Amino acid sequence: MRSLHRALIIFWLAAIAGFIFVAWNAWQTWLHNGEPAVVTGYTLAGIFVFLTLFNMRKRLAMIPLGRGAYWTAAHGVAGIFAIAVFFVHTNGVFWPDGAYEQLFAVLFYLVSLSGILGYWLQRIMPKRLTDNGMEIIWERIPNELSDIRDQAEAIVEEAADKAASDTLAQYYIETLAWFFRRPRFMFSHFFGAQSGRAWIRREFTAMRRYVDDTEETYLRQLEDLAQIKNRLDFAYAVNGFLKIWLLFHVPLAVGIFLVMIWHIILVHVYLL
Amino acid sequence: MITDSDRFSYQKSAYERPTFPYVCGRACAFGKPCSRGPNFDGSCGGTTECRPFRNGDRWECRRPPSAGGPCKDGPLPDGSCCQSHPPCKPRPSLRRRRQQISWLVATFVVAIIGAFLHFSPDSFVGEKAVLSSISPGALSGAHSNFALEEKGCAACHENHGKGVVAWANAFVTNQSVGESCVDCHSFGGASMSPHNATFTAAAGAAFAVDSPSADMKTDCVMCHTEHKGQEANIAPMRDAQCNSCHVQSIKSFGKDHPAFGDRYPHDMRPAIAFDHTSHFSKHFPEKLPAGETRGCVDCHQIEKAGLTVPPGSFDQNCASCHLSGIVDRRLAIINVPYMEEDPFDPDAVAELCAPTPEEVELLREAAESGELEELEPDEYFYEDNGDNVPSTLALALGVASDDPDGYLDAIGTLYPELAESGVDAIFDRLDALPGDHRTGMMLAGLDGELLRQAACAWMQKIEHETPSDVRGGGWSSDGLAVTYQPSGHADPVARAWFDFAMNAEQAAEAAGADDLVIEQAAALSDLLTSEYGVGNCTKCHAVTQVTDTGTEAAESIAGLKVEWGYQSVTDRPYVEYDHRPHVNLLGPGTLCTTCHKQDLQAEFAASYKQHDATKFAPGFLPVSQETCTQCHTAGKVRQDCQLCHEYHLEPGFNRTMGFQHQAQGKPETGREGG
Repeated sequence: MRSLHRALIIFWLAAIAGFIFVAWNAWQTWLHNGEPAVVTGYTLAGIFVFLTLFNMRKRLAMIPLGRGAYWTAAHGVAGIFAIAVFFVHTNGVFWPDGAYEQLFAVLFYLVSLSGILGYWLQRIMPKRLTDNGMEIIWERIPNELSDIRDQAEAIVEEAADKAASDTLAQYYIETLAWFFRRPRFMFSHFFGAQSGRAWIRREFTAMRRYVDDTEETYLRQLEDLAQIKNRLDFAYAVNGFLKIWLLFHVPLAVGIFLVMIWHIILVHVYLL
Repeated sequence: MITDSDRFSYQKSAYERPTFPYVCGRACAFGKPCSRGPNFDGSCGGTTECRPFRNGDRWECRRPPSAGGPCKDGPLPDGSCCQSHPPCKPRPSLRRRRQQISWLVATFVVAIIGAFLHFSPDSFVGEKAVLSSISPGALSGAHSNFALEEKGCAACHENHGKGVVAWANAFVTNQSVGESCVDCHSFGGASMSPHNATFTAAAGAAFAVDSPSADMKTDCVMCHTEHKGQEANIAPMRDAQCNSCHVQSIKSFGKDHPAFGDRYPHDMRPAIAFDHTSHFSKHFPEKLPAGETRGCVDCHQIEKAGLTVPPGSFDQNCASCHLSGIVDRRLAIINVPYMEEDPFDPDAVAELCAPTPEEVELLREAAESGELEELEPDEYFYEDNGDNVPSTLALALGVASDDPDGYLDAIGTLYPELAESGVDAIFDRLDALPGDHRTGMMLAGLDGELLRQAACAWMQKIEHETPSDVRGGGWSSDGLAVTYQPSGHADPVARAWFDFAMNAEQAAEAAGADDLVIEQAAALSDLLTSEYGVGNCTKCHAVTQVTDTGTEAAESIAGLKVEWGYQSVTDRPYVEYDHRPHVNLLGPGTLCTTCHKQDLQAEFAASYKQHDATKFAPGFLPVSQETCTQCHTAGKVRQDCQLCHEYHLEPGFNRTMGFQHQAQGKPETGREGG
């Protein structure tokens, strides 16, 4: 962890130094009546390529290309570096005049915003997942939910046998089945609210007055399962968002890469 | 299950395949996923619990331990699994979806570029041009209709619309967009050199050949970047850019700008010798009614203020006092010369010149009164009435004006010719003289009949006067000479004579003319520039020597010229100054003397007795830099380089934009091209 922190500092220092150099070079080029956009443009293109390599790195996990954590840190820093160089390249212009450059700008801003969002998620979500106290592979959560649901239904059946009452079974069918059917309270979990726990406490407290001692034992088991399922829901929501944001970031990055290539072609054919 | 601490055991945990493109449909519905999962092609692979394995002659169940291990019933006799399920509908994994969306975005981007590539900017007008996928933005206002031109984008981008091969070639070769700018724009010097300057070895030249900038090649696109929108200013420059080339770096006008010259802004003698000091101190008080005064703006037109505040016209400012001094100076072209003998053959004269009506009348009266003998010609007519030949005629004849023996024969030849052919006789002689002359204008309005009658009369030893008074100027005969009277200020005939005479001597010398011709050319020049010269033009109009700066070695004197009009400042082509905001700062005329203070000791008028315009005593004290820095300093008023300096030399246009109206097919009124 300490080495990652040290690497992050090095990345930031390198990015700041790189930005100062690029900005200074652009300023000097402009002063001497040159075209600073050439240097800044190709710098930006180089950063784009580096940022794209991060995706390649994830696909080529079998090749020792450095720890993924380092790559993630470098990707985030390089993204911020790209935003800074972008505005040097456009000479501070936020909204260009040409349609295709506007497309370029829109894609860049969306990629940047989604990247910043992703970077923020990467910084806070893992800590929240750790605080959840439950390590689970996201793709396995449906299977786990299914197991929990099966176990809950088994408890209800056993309670009906032992207590000779269908109170708990009715309660499960009318209320708990909805909860165990699939992940619930997604937004609440993502934003750190406790709607799931509150719902469980409210429903089980309300139910508790209608069950006898025998059923009380099974009800407590059901409540324990509901709490586990609620934590799984949290993991599903938070971990899922860490994956879903890439549905925006990566396709937009592909789009911007294509527009960038078009831009370079036009610049060379029409200007340089 | 999650509560099982041993849940990752190979007997309990299924193998996760995160890169697999599909996930089980049951898992997507948060049901129990089957152990076999979907197939790679997206079909369901879990319709059975396992794919039984044949071991010898028996089929064995191969259900993995994580799914419960071998089932109790085992495979069916035909080798199929005994536990079958309805198939699910596998769904793409997140990775797969990401890939699909990426392709979708890529397709969208390529489609957008391709679709709008079809619409070349040539197809659009004005703002719509930016919709093209090759246009980075709208052209600035002045260039916004380039797409309408025949060449369209190719006016600047030569490879536009020439196909893929041209694009590929252009990709690897340097483009020269800036070179096409000079198709329309013109400059006073080389378009691709700094400041459009010409670097010469001439002494005192502003741009010397050993300047570091002499080898520098500039390009329009260095400073002027297009496609930034119709409202964009494509000519911005910052002081730092100026300092990048200039050896002497200037931080700000108020701090370290080089001091103005000793005579700034009066580096050149004004074209009009108007002595402000004598007029304000002497002439105005004498001529104007008591109590009436004159101020700067009474003569200078503040409504036309710009780099200069030009004075009003002669008629507005000067005519009331100076017009009479113009029209009462005449120019004699021929006269009755002093001659000690009569060079004319009486028979030839009689043949050329029929008796004049006056002679007929005299003869009739003499015959009636019996005094016919008194009509004998006055044999001393030329000695009694003749004068020197005027310089104009002496020059035309190539004789000395004061040498009767020298011009006797020439006169004897010329006057019969005048009587015979009128103007042609004098026209041809003037036209044959060396020099830059406009003979037609010099003799404009001269009536051949007037010359013929005058010549005949004089050859018959009779004075000749124009029958009627000449009003408003023109050619006339006053008895003993044919003269020209200017019609007023800016008389074209008088100007033509001045323009010819100023360089006649030099032209004669250059042509290797006879000494007599050279002397008479000088005499004509002296006559015209004297106070007796026709129109007395050079009393006010400066006669300035013109230098030829085109030579490599040094400046050479090309000749003299009369500065007819009010000349704007031309010796500082990179300086621009606008009087308007200054004049109106506190009201018209109130601020002139803030900067322009008269120098009462200057010998301003004496400067015009010689021809070097750089050697003169301005009638005003120099304007100091401190005058400007009172306002133009940090925190007050702009003081950047471009406020007072212009980068280009004499920017102009090679052509106008008239073609645009034709291309649009709807002519617009009230707009000027270019």
